[in-house]
Amino acid sequence: MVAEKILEIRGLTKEYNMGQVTVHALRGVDFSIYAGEFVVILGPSGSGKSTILNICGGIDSPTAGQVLYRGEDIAGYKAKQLTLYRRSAVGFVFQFYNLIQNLTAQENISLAGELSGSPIPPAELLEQVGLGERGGHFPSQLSGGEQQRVAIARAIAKNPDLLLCDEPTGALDFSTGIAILRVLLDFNRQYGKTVAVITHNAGIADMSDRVLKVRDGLIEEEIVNASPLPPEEVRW
Amino acid sequence: MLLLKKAARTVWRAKKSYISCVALMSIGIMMYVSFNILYLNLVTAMDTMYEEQRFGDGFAQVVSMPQSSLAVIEAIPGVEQVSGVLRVDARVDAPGAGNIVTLRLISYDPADEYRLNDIYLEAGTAPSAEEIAVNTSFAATHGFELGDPIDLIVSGRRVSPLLSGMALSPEYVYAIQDLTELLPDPETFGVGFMPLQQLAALTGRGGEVNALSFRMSDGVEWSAVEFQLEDALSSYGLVYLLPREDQLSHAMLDMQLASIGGMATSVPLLFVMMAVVILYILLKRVIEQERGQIGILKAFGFTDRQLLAHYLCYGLITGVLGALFGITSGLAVSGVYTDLMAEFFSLPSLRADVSPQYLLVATAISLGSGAFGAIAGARAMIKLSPSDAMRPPAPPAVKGDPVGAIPGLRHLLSSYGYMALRSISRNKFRSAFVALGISFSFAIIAFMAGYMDMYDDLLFDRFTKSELFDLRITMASPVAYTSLVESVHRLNGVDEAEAILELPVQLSHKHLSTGVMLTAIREDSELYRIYDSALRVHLPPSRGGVILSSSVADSLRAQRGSMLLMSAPSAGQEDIWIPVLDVVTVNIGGAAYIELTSLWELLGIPPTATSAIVRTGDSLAIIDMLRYNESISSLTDQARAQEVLGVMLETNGAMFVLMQIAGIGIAWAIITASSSISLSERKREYATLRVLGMQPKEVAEIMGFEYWVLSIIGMLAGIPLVYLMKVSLNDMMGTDLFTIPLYTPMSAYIQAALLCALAVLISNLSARRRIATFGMVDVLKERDYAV
Repeated sequence: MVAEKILEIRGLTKEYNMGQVTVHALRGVDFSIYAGEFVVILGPSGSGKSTILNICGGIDSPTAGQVLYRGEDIAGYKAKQLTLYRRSAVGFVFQFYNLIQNLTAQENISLAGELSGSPIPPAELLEQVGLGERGGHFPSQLSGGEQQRVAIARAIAKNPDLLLCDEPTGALDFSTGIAILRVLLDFNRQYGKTVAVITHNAGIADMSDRVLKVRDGLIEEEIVNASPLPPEEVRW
Repeated sequence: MLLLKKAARTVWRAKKSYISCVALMSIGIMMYVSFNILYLNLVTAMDTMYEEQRFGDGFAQVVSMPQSSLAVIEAIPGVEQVSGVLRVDARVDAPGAGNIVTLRLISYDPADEYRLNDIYLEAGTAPSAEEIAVNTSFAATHGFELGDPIDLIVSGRRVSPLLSGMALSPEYVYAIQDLTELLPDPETFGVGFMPLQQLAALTGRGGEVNALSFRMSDGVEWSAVEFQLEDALSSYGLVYLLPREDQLSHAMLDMQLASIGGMATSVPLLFVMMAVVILYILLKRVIEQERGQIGILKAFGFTDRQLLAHYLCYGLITGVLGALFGITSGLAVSGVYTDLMAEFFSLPSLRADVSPQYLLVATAISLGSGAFGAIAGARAMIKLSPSDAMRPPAPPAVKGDPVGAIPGLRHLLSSYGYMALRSISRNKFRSAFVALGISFSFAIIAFMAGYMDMYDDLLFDRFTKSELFDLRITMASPVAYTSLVESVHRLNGVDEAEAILELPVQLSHKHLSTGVMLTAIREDSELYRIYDSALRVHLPPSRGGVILSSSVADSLRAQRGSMLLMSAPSAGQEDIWIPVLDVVTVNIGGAAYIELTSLWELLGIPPTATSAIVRTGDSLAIIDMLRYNESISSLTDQARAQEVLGVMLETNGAMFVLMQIAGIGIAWAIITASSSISLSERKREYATLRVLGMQPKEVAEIMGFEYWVLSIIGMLAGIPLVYLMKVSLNDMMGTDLFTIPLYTPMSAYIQAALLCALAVLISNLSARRRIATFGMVDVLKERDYAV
């Protein structure tokens, strides 16, 4: 059986006007992301991978092309429609966590849950990410790895179809990074949700179902990984 | 130079916050400059006139005293000089006028070269035989020019002296007939100066004086000579004896000066302080954002001093603009105010002069405050080592969670509400500042809104609660009660008539003594009622004792049950002991009341009265009828008196509205500046919420909720502040003549709450617009703290 296309990108271009210079961040990108897969978008700095993630997540708009979410083109959405798309379909995980400093770990997760019609209970998620005892702590009382776990739990709390992760291990040491990747993979396998990770770290690609290599605003190569490694075995 | 360019660009980027800061600073400087210059102009003009015209240190009125006895008074140790004049009220024959026009005639002795309370001639010459000089505003209002005859009825005799000059007197800088008038009205009252011989001849009072003024020897206090003067004058029918501070014209001028003086320091300081705090918070934020840049500049080799000087520019830009706008507008406002004051106070040298010392001080305040705000905000950051500065700061440590500790709150509030409350508890300084700013704004607006009502109470309670008649007919001397009431009743157009007896008395309690007009009213009077403006109740006139106004009771340190010694020289009776039966709050003037028949019995005098009080639909017709009746000393039309007060209210109304606008301005500036700073601080947090799927409206609600909570706290704190402002106003302006009502109506609080809410709403809407424009992509790439 062929997996359902959750996102289909066609002829995606993005240009930024930086004063008198036009930067071509994406030059006609085509690819698809399928339901339930763990995909890595790999590329060096400035390759355009973050732009792809931002457009797929509805926090940026393309210059041209189509972004089909379950068959509906979100590229032409107005700001209000994009907000509703982010609210219902997408969860974000950032390199620098972006937790709300005035809310505890559990409250950060509840906050996202309040936006969703079918949230996952915060206590369950805290257990899932190994922070069952730390729910009452504020972000400044947690380590970087713990903060990233809370950020993942928060992204999952809305029960989104698609989890978009921007360099989720970029600010962490190796072992903490591996633990975070385990959490992401568990979410992918346990809930059957799609996870897309963008990174410049080639090691992470070894654990994915599929790798999209990006260079100079184009998809350079697409690699299907027949036997992904468990996170604990990947190295960088 | 490059750093200066950088500073200018940074200021431009945060222009909204800087504009509110400059606005507050400008308002503060404007008030400082305008009030201080006005104060100085008034004090200088007053001092000049008092010095040059030899204004007395004390004043007395007696029924009659031989001129030769002045030497006896002058011999009292501590009294350096005494001047005596004849002072009588004459009627101006002005048939077209809507009311009786009274000219207070004061004798002028050209031979007395060093007379006290000398006249200042604005035009023409001093009066000689068959001539008169009058105050300028009276002449101007009635169209009299030099050389014109003025038709007068003096003690029943018609005379028409020629106008020789326009003269001002230090005793009538604020020219009102008595305290019932409150506002100069040259249409009905003026002051005229006639040669002593001529006035004495007209009144048949040759060799007599009835108004005295005293100059004390250097270093002698009024209290040191008061009792001896009282003793010496009592045999001449002492009506009143008072120091300069209680002299009517001076007291009104002094009250105005106290009010301006109070405004000249405290109010501007408040605005400047608010501007400094905003600047401090703003610069702290700007510098925090430039933390990395500071590290780089330091790594390049810039010294701490150079960097501090750079950030000083941020404050100095605010200081320079604040001084520029504040001084320019302050000078314009001081000119307008000085002209307004000149309409009420006749001071020859009152001009809108510019005082350079205040401009220098204002510039120093503005620049100094700007520099202080900048240095306070920048100091800590400049001290960081380059490597520390280039690293993001550590997140602030969590010190307890007071919001989370409130039981049950979690169930009441959504996460949004929780975020707002935690933000308040974690940014205590900024939250306290916002709440304080709103409480000041609320208090200023409510105070000013209540001020109109307060003026209404202060001025109009008399007409609506106490003096319930339309016309007062004051007789030249006491007349039989029954015949007065009956004859007034017979006049056409009179609906109701009663009579009262007003008697100048001296009241003494222990070693304290004061002169007061005792008003005797019939127990069943419907036209004159005793009203307590604090308790808002009417009291029946007392039998066998007096009711005192609180100002009189305070000056005698008397209370209910105290026994007073009352002397009434004009009634020609022995002194009597009389108890105080009650003390009431009367807003204007000192007062003492007693039941009329009881007073006749206590003093053993026949049933007499001094004024008829009348309810009528046509006061003017009755005034026309009685205009030339010589047994009547004055006719007071209550409607006309209210009309004059109305003009005063309108004049003040414009000032109150301006102050209210300033109040709204404070609220707007503080909320806008702090919300703008808050937005910049929490940009990443709000962008995260947007990425999570919140609409700009929902994100703005979190911030809005925070400001609504702070506004409510601020407004509640503003309620006692209004009361405190009124108490201090009463301390500043309240005299024996005035008591400022402390009551503030609910409508004033509602008005203040609505206007503050409007300021919060406008600011929240603007924040919502800014949140909608946040670029999520860029914001989320930044790091707030070290991770």
